[in-house]
Amino acid sequence: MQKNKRWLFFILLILSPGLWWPLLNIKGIFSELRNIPLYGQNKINTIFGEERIRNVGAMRWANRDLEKEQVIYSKLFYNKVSILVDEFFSFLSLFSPRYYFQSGDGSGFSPSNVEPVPILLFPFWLIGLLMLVTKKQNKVVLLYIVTAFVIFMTGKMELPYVWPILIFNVYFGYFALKNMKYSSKALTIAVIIIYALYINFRLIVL
Amino acid sequence: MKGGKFFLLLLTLVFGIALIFRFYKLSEYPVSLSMDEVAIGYNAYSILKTGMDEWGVKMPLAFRSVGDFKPAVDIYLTVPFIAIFGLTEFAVRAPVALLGSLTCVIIVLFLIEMGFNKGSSLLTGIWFAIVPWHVHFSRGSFEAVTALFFVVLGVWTFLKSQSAKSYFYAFIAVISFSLSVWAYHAERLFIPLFVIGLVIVWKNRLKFIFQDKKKLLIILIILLVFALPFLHLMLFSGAVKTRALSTSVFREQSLIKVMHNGEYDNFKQLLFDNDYYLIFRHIAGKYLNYFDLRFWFWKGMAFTPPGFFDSGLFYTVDLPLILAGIYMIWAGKNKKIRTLFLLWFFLGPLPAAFTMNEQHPLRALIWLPVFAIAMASVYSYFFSRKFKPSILRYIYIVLVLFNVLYLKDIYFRQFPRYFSEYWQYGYKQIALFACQNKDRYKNIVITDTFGSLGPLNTGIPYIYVLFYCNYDPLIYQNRKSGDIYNIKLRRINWSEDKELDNSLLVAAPWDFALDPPADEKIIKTIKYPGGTDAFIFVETK
Repeated sequence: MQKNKRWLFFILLILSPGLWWPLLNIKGIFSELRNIPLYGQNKINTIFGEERIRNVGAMRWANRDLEKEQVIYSKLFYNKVSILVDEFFSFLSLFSPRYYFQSGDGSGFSPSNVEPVPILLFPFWLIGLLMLVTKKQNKVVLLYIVTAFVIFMTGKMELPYVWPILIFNVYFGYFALKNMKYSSKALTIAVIIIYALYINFRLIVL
Repeated sequence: MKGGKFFLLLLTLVFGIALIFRFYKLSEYPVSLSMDEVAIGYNAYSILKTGMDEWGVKMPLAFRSVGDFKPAVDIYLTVPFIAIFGLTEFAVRAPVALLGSLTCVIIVLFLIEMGFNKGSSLLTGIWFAIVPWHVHFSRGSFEAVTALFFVVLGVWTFLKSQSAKSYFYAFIAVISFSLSVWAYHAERLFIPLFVIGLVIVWKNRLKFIFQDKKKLLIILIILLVFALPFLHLMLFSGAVKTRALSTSVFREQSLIKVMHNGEYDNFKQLLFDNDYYLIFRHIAGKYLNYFDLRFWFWKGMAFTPPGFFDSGLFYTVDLPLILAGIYMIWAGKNKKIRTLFLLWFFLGPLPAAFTMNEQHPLRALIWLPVFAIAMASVYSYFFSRKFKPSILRYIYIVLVLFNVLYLKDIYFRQFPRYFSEYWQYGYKQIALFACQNKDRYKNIVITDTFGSLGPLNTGIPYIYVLFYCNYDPLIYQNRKSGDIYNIKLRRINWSEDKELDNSLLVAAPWDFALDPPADEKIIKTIKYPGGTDAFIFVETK
C-alpha cells in the first residue's frame, strides 16, 4: 500500500462525481467563470447592503428600554463590525462538510442525487486535516484557506467555483487513509472505492 | 487553606456561576412556559395530589400527557419542587436548572478523572457554566439537560470505577446511564453505542468487575431493573414508539417523496435507487449538517430569525480555542482521551440526525461534553506559564465578558421579541383571566390557533388552564367532557359565536377580521413582546 500512494489519490479524485460531472457542461462553466469580476464586485457591494443595515437598526431598536434608552450599549453589539463577523461566518460555511459530502449545490453543475465527494471519506477528511497540521504541513492548510477565501470573494457557491476546495477535500481524505495505521486499512479503502463506484454508477444509470 | 479545601471552594464557585446563569429571572425568561413545561408541571402536580397522571394512570413510566408520551424522569423530579414552591413557573423550571448547574460540577470531576489538571478542569467548569447551548436549555425544563447530567455522571463514575477498582462507582455508572436513557429520547440511541465503545476502550481495566461474582450479579440486576420495564414499554405499549415516530426522519416529505417503499419499477432501480441508500443519504446529510462552524459559533441557537445577528452554541470568541483544543487532543499523547473524544465526537450528533428538523441543538445536546474536553485540553496550555504572550489571556477574558453581555442582550431582549409566540406567549394571561372571571360569563371560548402572521401555530390551551387555575387533578381525571369549568377550548367561528349569549371569546385579531367587533366589546388585548397584537378578548351580547 505504501508503494502505491498516489494512485489512491487519483482514484479518489476520479471517483468523486463532483469533479467530473461539471465538465459535462464545460460551456456553462466558462460562461459562469467569465462573470467572476462582476460577481466579485456585487459581493463587495452587498456586504453592507440595505437589508443588512436595516436589520442592524431593527436589533438596536429592540435594545431600547422603555424607561431609559441605551443606544450606546446597543451600538456596541450591532454595527458594521458585526456585519463583518457575520460575513466571516459565511466564509466559514465554505468549510461545511455537508455541501461536499452530501448535498452539492443543487444546480445543474452539481451531480444530481449523489454527493460530490463520496460521503465515506468524511471522517478521513477531518482526520486528514488534523494530520496535516500535526505533521506541520501548514502550507497546504494555508493554501486551502486562501483558496476558499478567494472563492468566497466571488460570492458564488456553485460547484465550478468551489472545485479547488473539492480537490483539497479529497486530498485530506487521501492523506488520512495513507498515513493512518490500523489493521483493516486495506478493507476500509476497498469499501470506500466500492461505494464510490456505486454512486458513480448511480449517477450514470439513473 | 489546604489544597483540598481550596479546590472545594473553587468547585463551589463554578457551581455558583452556573446557578446565577440558570436561575437569574428563571420564571420570566424564556418568556412563557412552553406546552411541554406546563404539561410537566401539571402532571407532577397531579402525581403529588393523586399519585396519578392527568389521564388517571397510576405512577406511569411514560406520561401520555398531550399524546407525546413524555419521559418520566423530569416529571417525578419536579414533584418535590411543586410540593415546596407550589404550582408555579419556578417550581417547573428549577429542577432542570439545578441539574444543569450540577452538571458543571460533575464535568470538572470528569475532566480531572480523564487526566486534565485541576486548574484547566475548573476553568472548563466555568466555561460550561456560561456556555449558551447549556444555559438556555437548562432554563427551559428540557429533558435533554437532565439526561446529559446522568450521562456525564455516568462517564465520570465509569472512569472512576476502573481507576479505583470500585464497585460502588460501577453501580452509580450503571444507574446513571440507565436513567439517562429513561430521561430523554436521544440517549436511547446514543447510550448503547457509547457504552459499548467505552467498554471496548477500557476492557483491560474493567476486568476487576468479574472478580466478585456477587457484585457482578448486583450490577446485572440493576441493569435489568431499568432495562426490563423499558423493553416492556418499547415492545408492548406505544409509549416509546409513538414519540420515535412523531419526530422520525421518515416523516420528512423530502425523504417520503423519493422513496419507493420497496416497490421498484425495475432491477436498475432496485440496485441504484434503493430505499436503504436513500435513507442513508438523507440521514447522512442531517448528520453532516452538525459539523458547521457557523452553527457552532454564530447562528446555532436560533434566538433570532434568519438575517439577524444571533448566538451560536458557543461564544464566538471560543472558535480558535475549540479548534485548537480538537487539534491538541488529536496531537496529544493520551490515547484514551483521544479515543473517548473521537467516539463521542462522531456519535454525538447521530441521534439528532435520525429525527426531523435540521441542526436541532436540543437533540444534539449530548454532544456538548466533547467540546468541554476540547476546551480543557486547550485551557491546560492557554492558562499555563508556557503560553506566550500572556496578554492574549486577558484579551480572551475581556472578549468572553463582551460575549456574555451580547448573549444577555440577545436572550433577554431579542429572543422574546422574535419568538415569544413559539413559547405560547399569552396563554398564561388568558388562563389567569379566564379563571378569575369565569363566573361573569356563561361561556368562555379560548382559541387553539394563533400567530402574529396568521393561523400558523396551534397550541394546547387546556393544559395552561389546568396549570394556572390550579385545577383539581382528581376532578380532571374523572371528567366527562373536554371543557374545564365553563371554558371551551377551540378555534372560534366569529360569524356564529358572536351570537352566543354572555360569552367571552379569546382569539387572535385575524379571527375577527371579516367583521371586526365594536371597540367597546374588546375588553382586553395581549401583545407579543415584539409589539404586535397576540390575542383580543371580545364579549358577546
